[in-house]
Amino acid sequence: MEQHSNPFAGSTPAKRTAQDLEAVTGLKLQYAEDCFRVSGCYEAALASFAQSLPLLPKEYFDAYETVEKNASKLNEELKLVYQKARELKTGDLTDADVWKLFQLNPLFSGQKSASAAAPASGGFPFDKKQPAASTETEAANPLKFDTKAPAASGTAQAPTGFSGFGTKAPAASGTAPAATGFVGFGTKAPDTTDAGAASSAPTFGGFGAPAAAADTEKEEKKPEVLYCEPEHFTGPLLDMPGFWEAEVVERCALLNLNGGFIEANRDKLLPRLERWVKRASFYRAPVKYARIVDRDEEVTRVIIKDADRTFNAPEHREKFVHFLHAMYHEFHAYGQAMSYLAGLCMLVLNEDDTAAVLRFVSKEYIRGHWAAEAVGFATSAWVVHYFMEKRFPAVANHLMELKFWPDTYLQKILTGLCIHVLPFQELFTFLDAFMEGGMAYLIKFCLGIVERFQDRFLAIKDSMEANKVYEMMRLDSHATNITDIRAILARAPEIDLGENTNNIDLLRSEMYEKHVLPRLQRAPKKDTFEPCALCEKGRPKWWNDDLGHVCNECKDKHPNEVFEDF
Amino acid sequence: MAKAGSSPGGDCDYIFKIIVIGDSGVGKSSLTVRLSEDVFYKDYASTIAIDFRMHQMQYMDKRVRLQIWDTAGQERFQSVATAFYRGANGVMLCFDLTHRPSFQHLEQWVERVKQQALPGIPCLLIGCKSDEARDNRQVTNDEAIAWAKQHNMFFIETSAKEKENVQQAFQQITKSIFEDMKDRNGKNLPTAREGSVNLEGQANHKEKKSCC
Repeated sequence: MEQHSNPFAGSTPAKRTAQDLEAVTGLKLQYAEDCFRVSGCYEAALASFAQSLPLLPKEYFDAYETVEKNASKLNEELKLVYQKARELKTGDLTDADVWKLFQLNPLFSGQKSASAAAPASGGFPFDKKQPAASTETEAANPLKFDTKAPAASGTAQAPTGFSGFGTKAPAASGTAPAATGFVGFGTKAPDTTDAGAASSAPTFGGFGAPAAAADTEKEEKKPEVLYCEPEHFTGPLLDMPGFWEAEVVERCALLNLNGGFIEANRDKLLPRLERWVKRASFYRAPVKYARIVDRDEEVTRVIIKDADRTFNAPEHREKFVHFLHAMYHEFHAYGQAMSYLAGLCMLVLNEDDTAAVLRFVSKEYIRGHWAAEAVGFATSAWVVHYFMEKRFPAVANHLMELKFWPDTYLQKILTGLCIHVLPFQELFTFLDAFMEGGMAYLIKFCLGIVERFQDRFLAIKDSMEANKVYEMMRLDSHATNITDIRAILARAPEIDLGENTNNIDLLRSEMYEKHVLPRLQRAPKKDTFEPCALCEKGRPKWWNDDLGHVCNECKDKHPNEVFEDF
Repeated sequence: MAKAGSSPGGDCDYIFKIIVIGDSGVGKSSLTVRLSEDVFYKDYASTIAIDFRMHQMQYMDKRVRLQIWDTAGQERFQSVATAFYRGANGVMLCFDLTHRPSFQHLEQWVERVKQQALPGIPCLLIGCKSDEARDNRQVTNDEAIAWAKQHNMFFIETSAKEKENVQQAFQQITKSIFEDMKDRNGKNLPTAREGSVNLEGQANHKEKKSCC
């Protein structure tokens, strides 16, 4: 249970100390302690050390070769640190907030110290990839340890300035946090851009390694944001006059599966959801509303459409739009499933509390699921498949043989959180458990479905029956019944994920690199094209055997040539 | 997913995988739900990522099963495209007759099809919400036909609400797929994406409607 309240799901609570840093880096204890004190925790200290290494005098070390010996393990740890930092560094959290989270919830336990591990054999993986910081630095530091953090985006900005001992390195909004400066080494802080996708992609390319292909494109084209005071009622929807009649009695789309639950639980719903808010209390902060300048802007239009498909009355839709629009600007991303949970919460919660729940869920439990390009979801779906292979190998293999990939049939659970899937009575049981258990619970729920229907899955003969997979995984009423649903809900918490229960983050990283990243690298980018062979600027539209691929403008300059569609 | 042209036996002769794409809110889910379940939901919840439906139909003397992949209009496709487009036999490209931007975005959708799907995959342009267009039309029939012609596909206006032309739309894409199969079997057209560059020029615009 304890792990579920921990944003670093899978971590152990024991903290590492300056001695751990000393042991793993070879720093003299005095400097390790200085670094640790300024950074506040092992994770930030390690990041700060890595950034500063090129400029560290050898006198700071007791055993300079220790870093190289431990390089492999250090890489692993830094990978996790930066991955976690990127995931957390979204919205209103400052760098300091993020590093404080590491203090409160250490990523590593003392027992798993890299120093305790066998020294890595072989080379120092950073070395070969790093540009020399400077000739002078090279001389002082033959390791050439690059100071750049892994870029989460191909559009990574120039590293932010690192202002020395005890000062906080500034980081552009939306970037991964820069570690606190260490002992005036004067190196630059790491800088990673996030955008929505960055938080979703558990990537780490190693220092100086190329950014993941996924991130060469911004998640959303960001319009200029004009923040404003809300002009709408920001309290619970059920407090609005006319809401009951217009939405509950007339059954708005959000309440399609209500089945009398709201009516029977009107007074019990608020205390129930307040438990969610309590769990998300760290994320409670005023919503920053943004003026809606262009209702035809790509994402705003989707939000408006979603509001239309959630509530009946214009005033309720408008309130919903303003709230989701604010969250979109805060998250720098919008996924339509976000509106599902938001709508439910807003029934009884005010908008600040609803925002806290959304932040908590999106940042700690289902990172990157609520994004237009749901890389995080695809990654998590493969994690579910991994557990399916462990527990139900016959089903997992059978589905793979039939080419049913998990990222096509798990979205209703992993992203939609079973809203519009389960009847409300069961839905709120599911959501209560999810708020406690996070991603681990979602995985267990998926496995519960597989366990319940494993014979039926195995009976699927070929792709002709693909619909059966989807019907079972979305618990369609004509494929499953309420007894099935209740049995799955009862069984899910009991399912043991085994030794990997605490390694879900690591598994996500592995699944991302194994299944998702290759696709992203293969996928053509929307705005990427080989430029015109003549002007080397325009998008090629035409082909000529002599000139090659040319754009419209260059084609017009060659009226006597024969072109065909490129 | 299904192999076009195969004869799987059982209760159908052919299985075709159809993908339905277009801007968010244009009516893709309403269209597919109307076909597969014969109902119309006034406010159908937004689709997340992909939804999947089956529909059995008769085309000429053939029993055809359509695997319909209904997509979320907001999704970007890089991470899901591989599974989504893989093995697709036809594309239904939807826009909202009462919302011009969704028509203007068609080029982007076609571009994605070209990037991800097999070259020359049959496409059908669908103008959704013809019932609402009676009072609030933002795209004329002529310009939609012109766009479809330019991109070598047919155009049809549908109303899921009034059950207008829904069956016909799926019949049309099925017909186009059969013609495409016939064409491919006869000409041994390339099946790799790299072949897409020149395919458009090779197609017989009068006889075969393959868009990409």
